[in-house]
Amino acid sequence: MTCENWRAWLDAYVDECCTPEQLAGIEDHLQSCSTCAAEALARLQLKRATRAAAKAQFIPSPEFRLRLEKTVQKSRKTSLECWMDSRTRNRAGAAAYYSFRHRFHTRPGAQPSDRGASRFTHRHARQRKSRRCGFHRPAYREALVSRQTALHLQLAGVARFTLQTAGGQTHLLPKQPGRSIAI
Amino acid sequence: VPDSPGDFGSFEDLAMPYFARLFNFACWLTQDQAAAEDLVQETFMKALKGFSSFHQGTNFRAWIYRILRNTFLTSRMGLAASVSLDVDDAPAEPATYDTPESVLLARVEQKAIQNALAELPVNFREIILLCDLEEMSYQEISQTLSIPIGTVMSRLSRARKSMRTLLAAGREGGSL
Repeated sequence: MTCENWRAWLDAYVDECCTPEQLAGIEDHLQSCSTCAAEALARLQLKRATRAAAKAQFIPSPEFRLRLEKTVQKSRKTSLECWMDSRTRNRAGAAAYYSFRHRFHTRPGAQPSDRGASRFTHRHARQRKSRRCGFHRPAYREALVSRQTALHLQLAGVARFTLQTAGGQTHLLPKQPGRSIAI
Repeated sequence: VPDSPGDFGSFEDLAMPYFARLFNFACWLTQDQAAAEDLVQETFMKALKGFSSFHQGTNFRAWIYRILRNTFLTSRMGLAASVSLDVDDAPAEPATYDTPESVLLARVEQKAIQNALAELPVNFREIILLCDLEEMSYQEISQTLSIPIGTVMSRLSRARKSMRTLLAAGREGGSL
């Protein structure tokens, strides 16, 4: 390789982005070519001088930092509320749906199932109903909401249910008058 | 929106250490401190909003710098600055290695380098800053600028050559 070829790799050399093979080749050449060695040194000096000149040239004011942190916290809180609210709405809707269906569709002797409201939203339930698939199966008759769902509802603070444990069983109680849901 | 509330805490843990560096980088891009503040704030908001798309364990620095850089390029100031960005395909000028940078750099002051940096086209300025100031690898620069590594190398070479030319012109003009 000629000096011209090696010089094409000098930037990668000073930026330490060479492969081990390239590095070995370049270093061999630099030991034998003073012109390329001087060029490599010059590029390295320019790189260091640029870094020194550009580093911390502009420093953000403490007021801006504080303002940004507040904005991020505010935005973060809003996002968290939206996130919790969307989950809550889905699950509260499912709970309400299963509560409604439990009231009107429970047959004597039906067994409760662990396949409950937490797995299906209104939309899923409507789709199932429209397909007339599974709607009358015993597995879907009991309105069960997982404890995790209940905790989410409580944590969100916007739920229309409260959690109450009595007699070894946990119930979701609607804040408005209505039927409780055993979980 | 993040997948879990726990992710919110980690955004600030990951992003805030880069705050001052991002601000410095934004100032170099915009050449205006007020515009840089707006740019950094918008970057943080976009990063927070899109944090769920960031894959934990991948390069956060390249990710947030890419957001800042893209936000800048789509701003009015960035659009004006990027009008003449397509220089990667321009024919290479003959390389001149007769400029003894070592001698030159012994004389120039930081101000001369800062002036040269500020005079560079924004695509040259940003790649020099990412490489020399932020000390990003070519791979990281490739991710940040969304360009192939080969383009990183050629653009960086052109950028440094332009900078050497500007420094040499400054010396000849007697500004050093």
